[in-house]
Order: sequence, then C-alpha cells, then structure tokens
Amino acid sequence: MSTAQPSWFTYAWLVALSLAVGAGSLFVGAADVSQAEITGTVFSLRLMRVIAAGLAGAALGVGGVIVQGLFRNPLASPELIGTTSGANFGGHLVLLLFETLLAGRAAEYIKPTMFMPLGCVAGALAALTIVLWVLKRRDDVVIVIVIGFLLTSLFASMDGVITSIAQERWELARAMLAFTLGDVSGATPRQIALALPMIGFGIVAAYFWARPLDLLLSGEEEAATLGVDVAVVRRWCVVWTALLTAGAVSLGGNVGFVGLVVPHVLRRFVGVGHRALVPMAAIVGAAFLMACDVIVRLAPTTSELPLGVVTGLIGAPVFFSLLMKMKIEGRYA
Amino acid sequence: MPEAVVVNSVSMVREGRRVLDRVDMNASHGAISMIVGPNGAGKSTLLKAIAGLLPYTGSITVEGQDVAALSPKQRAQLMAFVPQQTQLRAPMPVRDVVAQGRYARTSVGAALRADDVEAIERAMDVASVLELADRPFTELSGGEQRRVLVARALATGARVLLFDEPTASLDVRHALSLYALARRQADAGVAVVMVLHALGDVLRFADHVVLLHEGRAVASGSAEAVVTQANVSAVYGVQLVPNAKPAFDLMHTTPRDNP
Repeated sequence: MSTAQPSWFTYAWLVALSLAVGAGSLFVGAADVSQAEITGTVFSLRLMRVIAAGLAGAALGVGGVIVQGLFRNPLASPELIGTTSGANFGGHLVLLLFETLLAGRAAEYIKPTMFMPLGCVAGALAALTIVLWVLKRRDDVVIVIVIGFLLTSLFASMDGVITSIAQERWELARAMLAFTLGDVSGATPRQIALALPMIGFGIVAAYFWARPLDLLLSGEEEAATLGVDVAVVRRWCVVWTALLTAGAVSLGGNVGFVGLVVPHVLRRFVGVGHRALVPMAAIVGAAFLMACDVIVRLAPTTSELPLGVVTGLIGAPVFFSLLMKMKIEGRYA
Repeated sequence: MPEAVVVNSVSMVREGRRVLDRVDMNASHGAISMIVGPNGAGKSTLLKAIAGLLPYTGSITVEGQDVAALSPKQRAQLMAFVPQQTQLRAPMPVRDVVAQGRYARTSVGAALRADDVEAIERAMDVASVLELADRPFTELSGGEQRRVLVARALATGARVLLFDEPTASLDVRHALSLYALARRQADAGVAVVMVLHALGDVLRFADHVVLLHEGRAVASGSAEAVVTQANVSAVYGVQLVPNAKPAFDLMHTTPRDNP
C-alpha cells in the first residue's frame, strides 16, 4: 500500500517514449519502403510485430512484478520459474493436437492460433501451481530457482518430444521452432485480437491487486494479520500471471528475461510499491521489447535473430548481477 | 462492551505434539495482559491463535466475535498484531509500511482517503516515527523498525493490540519507551496483550498475567499473584532473588540448584 505515486507527467513521458520507440521501429528493417507498391504491406507487417512486441513486453513486465511480489523474490519471473516454458509447451501441444486431430476436418476459418492461447494458459497455470505447491512445503529463495530450473527442463524435454513428432511436418516444425526461440515477426491480427483481452485484463487486475501484493512483502503471516486473505490473493495472482504469460507467449513465443529485468530496473526509480510498479512495468516492458525487436532487425545477420536471443543476451548479465547483489545484501531490492 | 479477548478451553496439536491444552484466558480493555512462561510453553502459539493465524479447538472471541468465523479483514479491524520479527526485507518507505495498517479499512483498488492519511500520521506521531517517515524501512535500526511496526499496528485503529515479545533485542531505553506507549494505549481503553519473557518487566508493567507451562495455563491473575516463588520455581526451575538495584531490574533469577 503505497502513499506516493509517480506523477502523471512521469507516466505521460514514459508512454510518449514507448510510442516513439514503436513508431520509430516501423521504419527499421531489411525491406526497402521507398518502393511505393510494397510500402503499405511492409508497414502493415511491421505494425503487427510492433504491437505484438509491445503487448508481449507489457505482459511479461507486469507478470514479473506479480510473480516477484507473490514469491517475495526479485529473482522470480515468469521465465525463471517455468511459467513461460509451461505456456510454451501448452501452446506447442495444442498446435500438434490441432494438426493431428482437426487439420483438414475443421472449417476453413478455424485456425490453430485460435486455440493456442488456451494451451498457453493451461501450461502456465500448471507450472505456477506446481511452484506454489512446492513452496507451501519449502519456502526458500533457492528452492524457487531450483524448482524453476527443474520445471523449465521438464517442459523443455516434453516440448522436445512434441517437436520431434512435428518434424514430419515441416511447416509445423518451423512454426514451433520460431515459437520456442521467441519471435514476433509473424504476428497476425488474429493472434493480437486473441491475446489483447488476456493481457489487458491481466494488467488491470494486477493493478487492483497491488495493495495486497505490497502487504505480502511482509510475509504471509504478517499480511494475514493486516487483513489479507493470503490464499485468495495467491490463487488469483497465479491466474493473472498465467493469463499474462500465456498472452505474451501466444504472441512472441518463449521470450526470456523481460519479467526479470523490467521490474528490477524500475524498482530503482519508483520503489517497491506495486501500484506504481504495475503500470510502469507495462509501459517500460512494452518499450523494452519493442526496442529489442529493433535490435533484431538491425543485427547484421543473414537471417533475423530470434527475439528471445536478444532479450537473453541482455537479461542474463542482469540476472547474474542481481544474484551476486542478493548474495551480498540478502534483501529484496 | 464485551470482554476484549476471551480464550475458552483452547487446545492445539502441531506435528503430533499438544502445544496448547485447554487454555483459558481473558484480556480486558484498558489493561495490559501478559502471557508468560518458559521457552516452548506455547506463549507465541496462543497469541497467534488469538490473532487467527493458527487453527485450534475450543473458542476464542475478540470483542464478542468468534475469531474462527471472521474474515482476515474483519479480524484486522478488531485486533492488530506486532510480530517479534518482521519478514519485511523491502526498502519500503516507513510511511508506506505504516499505511499497510489501513488495508483492512479500505476497499481493493481504492486510494487512501483523508481519514486514512490522518490515522497514519497520528500513528507515526504516537510511535515517534514521524521523523523516519521517508526513510527506507530496511535502513532502520532494530529498535526503529520495532517502533514502525507498532505504528503500523496503531494505524489499524484496532482496539486490541497483540505484541509478540515486543522488547526482545531492544535496549532498555527503547523497551521502556515501548512499555510507556503500551500503557498510554491501555489508558485510552485499548486492550494490550503481550507475550513476554522478562519477569521483572511483567511485575512492573502487567495488569493481568497468564502463566503457561507445557501448553497449559497454570496460573492467572495479577502479576503479584502469578509471579510467585512457588510458581516460578515450579515452571522455570529457578528461584527468585530480590535485586538490590531496583532501578535497573526489579529482580533477577538464579538457577535453583545453585542459589
């Protein structure tokens, strides 16, 4: 429960910055937009990927804020506790099931991308439920990281099985690989339309649950004495996180470290209060992932780098420095 | 007005061990009640049961309301709990920590109202933490942190205050300051319930005492009636020796085997 909030000027400035990054990124890429006949198509494609990156970044940023508040652990994030991998696996499973069971039988307008978000939500929920179940028995920072590592490995292994089955169908295998590495280049209006309600609802809900998350920083027992129904908060925060992660994964695949880096950086500027952190993480997360997508397009490689590779290269050193700092200071900062 | 706290035949079993055994206890508004006993007697467990944090059999009512039937918000409006040690490790400004005390009195998503802000300022003033208002909680000394937690409890506006070993790790000045604050609250009609170890402080500051031993309430009443040679010897295995320096300690104890 924070008494101080960033000013409207701060929010306006950050939103303007975020929009500027998005608008500027429309003009970055390999295609030559000076050719009038393709300009419209190129801008349209780029607009889709910019929106997808922005939404996925906002979702992962806010998802990181919720997870870190819920676990009272700045090292927790949807990517590191296995939620993203769970959503990724769920999405892949749905893709495979659709191709195996429904392809050729379903009506033309029914696409696998319509079901993918459901698989992502189910996978994310499964991962979060397992983490919470373990933490009820062993509540420890190290345990969170180890469980996250185990879940990520488990889902990656199960994902490997699905991907190897999908190898027989080249298009399906290619789509799965892009999804795994994190990629917004092929985002479609349909994907965005499906993910937008999940992400929008998740962000608004997270904002309204900011106060109990603030109180949970004092631990579950103290929060309960102050009036927080811990079981209810925990349950719903898991649902919001699953929605946000699933929305992000259904748009950009397995994009790592956004949920770790964004809240960590923001806490330096806006403090630990969730009423400020949630909207800020949405704005800055969107700008961060859109900027990463610009780097993807500017990188001098023959084929485009996956988005998840860029966020990983930025996020891993931040994670390492955070880990070292925690060891020294031993506190939530 | 109903009795502040009524504990009636409360029992609790944890990990196969009976930690509370048919405990009875009352605490009144306007008085400081203390729960004493040796380590492992069940003092903090009883306090947490009153706070609604642990399941039990029997009945506990706070201001006439069954604790087990209340929601966390309803409980937090009736009583405030000051833990022995906080789990808060975030560098949250002191004002925000104290503001957490208003959670139970505001709706989800709503901003703090004028009366909430007033209650927060008043609580900080009473607990003498106004000058710390903008400092990060994690940068305070142990004594300052304890005062902030007391301010958070006062900000709740609850008429029952529960303290779990409030003077543990506090120096004598801060400890006396905390007892003085508790007395002022009691004089204002609040029921103060403390778990305490220091028997000298119990004799000096308690209006009512419950002595626990192995999960059972073996004595209750005024401090002079409970902290007696016979009770202390039976429960702690030590003998009381009146101290020649009452300004510092009202008494000290020596092992019974080596008087």
